[in-house]
Amino acid sequence: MKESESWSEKALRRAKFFDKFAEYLIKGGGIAVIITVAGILFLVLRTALPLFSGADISTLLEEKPQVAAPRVLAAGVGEYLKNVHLILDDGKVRFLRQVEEGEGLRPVPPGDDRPAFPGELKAVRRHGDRYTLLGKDGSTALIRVAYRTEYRPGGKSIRHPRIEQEAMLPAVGDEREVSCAVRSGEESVRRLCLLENGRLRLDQVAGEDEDEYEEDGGEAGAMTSRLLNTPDPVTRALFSGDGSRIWAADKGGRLIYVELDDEGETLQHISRGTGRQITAMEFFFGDLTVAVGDASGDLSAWFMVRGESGTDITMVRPLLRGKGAIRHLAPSSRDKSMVVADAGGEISAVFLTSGRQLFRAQSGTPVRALGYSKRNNGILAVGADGAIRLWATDAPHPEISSKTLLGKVWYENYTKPEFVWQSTGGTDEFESKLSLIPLIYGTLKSTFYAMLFAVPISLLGAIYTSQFAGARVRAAVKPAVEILASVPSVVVGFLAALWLAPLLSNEMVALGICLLSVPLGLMIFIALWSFVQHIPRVQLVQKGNEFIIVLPVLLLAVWLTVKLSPGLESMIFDQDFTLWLYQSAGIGFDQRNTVVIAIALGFALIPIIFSLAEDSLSTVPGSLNAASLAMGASRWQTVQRVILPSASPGIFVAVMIGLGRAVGETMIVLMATGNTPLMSMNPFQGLRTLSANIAVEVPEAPVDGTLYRTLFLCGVLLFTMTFCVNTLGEFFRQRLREKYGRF
Amino acid sequence: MATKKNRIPLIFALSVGMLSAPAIAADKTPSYKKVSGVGGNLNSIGSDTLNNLMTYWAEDFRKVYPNVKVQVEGKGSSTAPPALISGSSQLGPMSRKMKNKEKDKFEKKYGFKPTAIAVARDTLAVYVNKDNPIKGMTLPQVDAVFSRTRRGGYASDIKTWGDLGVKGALASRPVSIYGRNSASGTYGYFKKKALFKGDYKDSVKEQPGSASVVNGVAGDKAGIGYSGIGYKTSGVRAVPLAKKAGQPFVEAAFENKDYPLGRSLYVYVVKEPGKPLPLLTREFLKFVLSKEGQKIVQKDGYGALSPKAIAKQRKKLGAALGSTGSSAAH
Repeated sequence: MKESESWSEKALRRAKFFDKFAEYLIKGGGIAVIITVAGILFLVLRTALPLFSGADISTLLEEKPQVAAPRVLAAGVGEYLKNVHLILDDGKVRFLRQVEEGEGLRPVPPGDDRPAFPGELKAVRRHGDRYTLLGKDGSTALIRVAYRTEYRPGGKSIRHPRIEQEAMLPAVGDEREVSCAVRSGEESVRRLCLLENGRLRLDQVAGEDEDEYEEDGGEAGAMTSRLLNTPDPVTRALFSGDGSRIWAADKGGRLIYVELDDEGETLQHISRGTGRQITAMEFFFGDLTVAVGDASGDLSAWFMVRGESGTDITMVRPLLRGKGAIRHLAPSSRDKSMVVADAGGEISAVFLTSGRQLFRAQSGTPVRALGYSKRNNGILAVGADGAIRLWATDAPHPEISSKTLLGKVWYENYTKPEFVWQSTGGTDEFESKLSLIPLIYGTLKSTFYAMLFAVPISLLGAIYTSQFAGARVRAAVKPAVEILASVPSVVVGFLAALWLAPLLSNEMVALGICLLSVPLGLMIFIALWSFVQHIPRVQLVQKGNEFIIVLPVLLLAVWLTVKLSPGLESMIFDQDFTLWLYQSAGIGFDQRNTVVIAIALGFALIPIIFSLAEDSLSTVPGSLNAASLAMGASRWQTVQRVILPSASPGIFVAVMIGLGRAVGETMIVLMATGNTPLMSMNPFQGLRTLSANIAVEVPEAPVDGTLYRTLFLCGVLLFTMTFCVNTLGEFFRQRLREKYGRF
Repeated sequence: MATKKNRIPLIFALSVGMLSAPAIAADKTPSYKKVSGVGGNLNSIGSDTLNNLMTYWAEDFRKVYPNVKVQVEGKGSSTAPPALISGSSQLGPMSRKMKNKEKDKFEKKYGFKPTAIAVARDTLAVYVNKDNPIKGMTLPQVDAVFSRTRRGGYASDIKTWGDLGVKGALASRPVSIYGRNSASGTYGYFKKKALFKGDYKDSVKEQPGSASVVNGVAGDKAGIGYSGIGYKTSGVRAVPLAKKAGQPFVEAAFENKDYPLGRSLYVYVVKEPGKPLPLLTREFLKFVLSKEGQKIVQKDGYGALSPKAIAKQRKKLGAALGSTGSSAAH
């Protein structure tokens, strides 16, 4: 006895030990899962959140006056913030450089100012890294400040500045110029001069074309000049880099836009007056949008908008509400930011697309000349006191704001504010369009249509299999459907793109008619069945096996529909459905459309929903079923009133898990749609989902760039969406269980 | 039939051109001479357009140096700079030039700028279905088909084939547009040149590869798309293009200098200034820029570089070139 007692005690202890062990293991596993998910979310968030961090500015250098302020006509800073150049009124350029950190600016050897222009200067205009120098005699030079890098042993490099002269144009006419801008193109060199009397003069030197155009343009190399037809005296003018567009401001605060074609002919637009005095004007990078600053300190962005009745000068958005009059503007030469200096000497930067003010700094004195480094990493200002000030700036994601991510934005060249996703361009001038709305829309659209397809089929299938079909049928059907779930989504997507999409584009009408003809066929069959079901031979088909007879009937209905649909199509739609759709409803029909997605994605959802729903239906206690039938309820009544309510928590979970899968599914939508970020509920057009977007764009995104972080933000959004769906699912499941799950 | 007849002289002219001009160009290029001490692994990550070419080059390079292993991966030009920066590849094939931000990243890591070696010429073709009767398109028309911004200056949006002057059954059909995904250099190049730096329409179906664009157009009677001329199949037709209205349409081919959509293809490398490239990388690029390498270029449907251009590219590879006995660079 004692032995057996100790034996049972031993067993008990062992059992307890294993119980404890299993408990800890399961708890530990659960906690590990939670930690892992939280960790992933943390990592994704850590990548996405810097999008919303601000921009920094810090003083780098403040240098005592080198030259009297009025002598400085323009100033620029090199891309490493080590080199500074000042264009002086004697036609020379002073190069300064900071060799070691903390050292001041020293003249670049050999030390003397370098000549850039023969004679004294009146005005200097900048475009990119080129300067147009206007001499007191009225002649102009186009120069470029360039740097040559010398690599020294030990990994050090030193940059040697030089002046490249690109075009020299002689003086023309008697009128004195206020400022000039020269643009050198492939076919000609053009010079736009603002004259003291408020007129604009355009000078043009034809290129040396040897074979053609000699008779009408005069000799090659000769200069032709003419005055532009501006109604009021002009106070400022801008000349685009390709020499094809002019923006000007007149005394009444009106803006004038002039387009020049190859022959120099003009097309002119004038805006309505603002009543304010325009004090500064500059192109944003790309020369499409103009920043206009006025005497009251407001800065706004303007561009040409194509409307129904031609193009119009339009104010797109306000950029700054300042205190002092805007004095100087310096555009970035790599994105759509602009450095602004006002009359009080406050320096700030704005970004066109987001309308954000990036940073601000106080220079203490009014600014005489302003420069923005080529890399957007520093600002140079020469004050009215002649001091040179240098700030280091850092604005990693200036284009991001809640407005650009979620709101309608009026982009350059667009006719109205829109939600657009177009992240990448061929050039740096490109304004990236990062609206998440079309992607969220696409995700919801694909989910909606896929669920519309999958939920009825899988739930009805589950009800039939669990409640009506015979045991043998059920034993075969359930595993078969579950095997479908193991088909990789790449394969489904591939089939959808290469086989289903072309097929459906021909048989779309047949598919539509099938939605009517199949139920109709079924009803006809049932009507006939009631006549024959008493015949003993027919009764050989046992209850639960009826589908064996129904199936051929349904297939016949589908076959007939496909055969008859071409005739019907030409009868109803006048030959061609897609053409009819386009012509009568204006709806485009895409081969890669949402119907394809609904079927392909639905195909991936059906096994999940079916399997879970079938489980919960067949675990409803048999006693309930038996009781209901014993009280005289029919099979259908039993299912409807007893089985379905009891199983509803499980069915609900099945649908919710399917929904979560549909939101996050990537490969199928990636392959079967054209990934077109459209915003229309039209099922015959494509879409672009958040998940597919991440897959498509990640290879393009430079690591830690704005696009990269935005894609991680898409990931956070996707996570939140599935998390919400699942949490909501669980919440309602608990509620339903309390209500119906008491058996 | 009429269009076919018209095209016969053109095709004939082209085939003559193909036989003569580039063949001579490739012949003048110095052939590759084997050097000793070459071995090891070479990784190439980058452009999808250059993928086939890189693979062919790698195969033939391995015939010269059997103990060299070359791995080629092509997912889009934008994948090249990160791979070069992280050091996971030595060669970065790109169908466009690096952007400023990519150059910045590169310079931040290495302290000097990346070196681009031009290796071949490509011609971008605008493809339509083989049954499409369209004779030609101007660039502003191409812009109006693909772009929502129409910076080319075409007066109205082009929605149907009828808007392009096509008659018959196709005329009332909407144009179905295929394009590349944004990771590809082709996407950016087409945007810059054919869209005049404008934006694509939202309805452009983005395909993951050049071949799938061509497949899409081949299977879609109202389809239009763009890809390298090397991807042409019998199911599609390359539309002759003109720069402006009034100018003659030019067939898409390397020899046609007036064709508006020609470009260079590059391989980017990490080359420290003043120092030659590592031996293996240098020899591979020398092979690419040799008679043998450029013949592969032609065989794969791209355009060989001129001997002058080759000499210029070979100079970029580094000072130690003279010792291996090349005549072109010195």
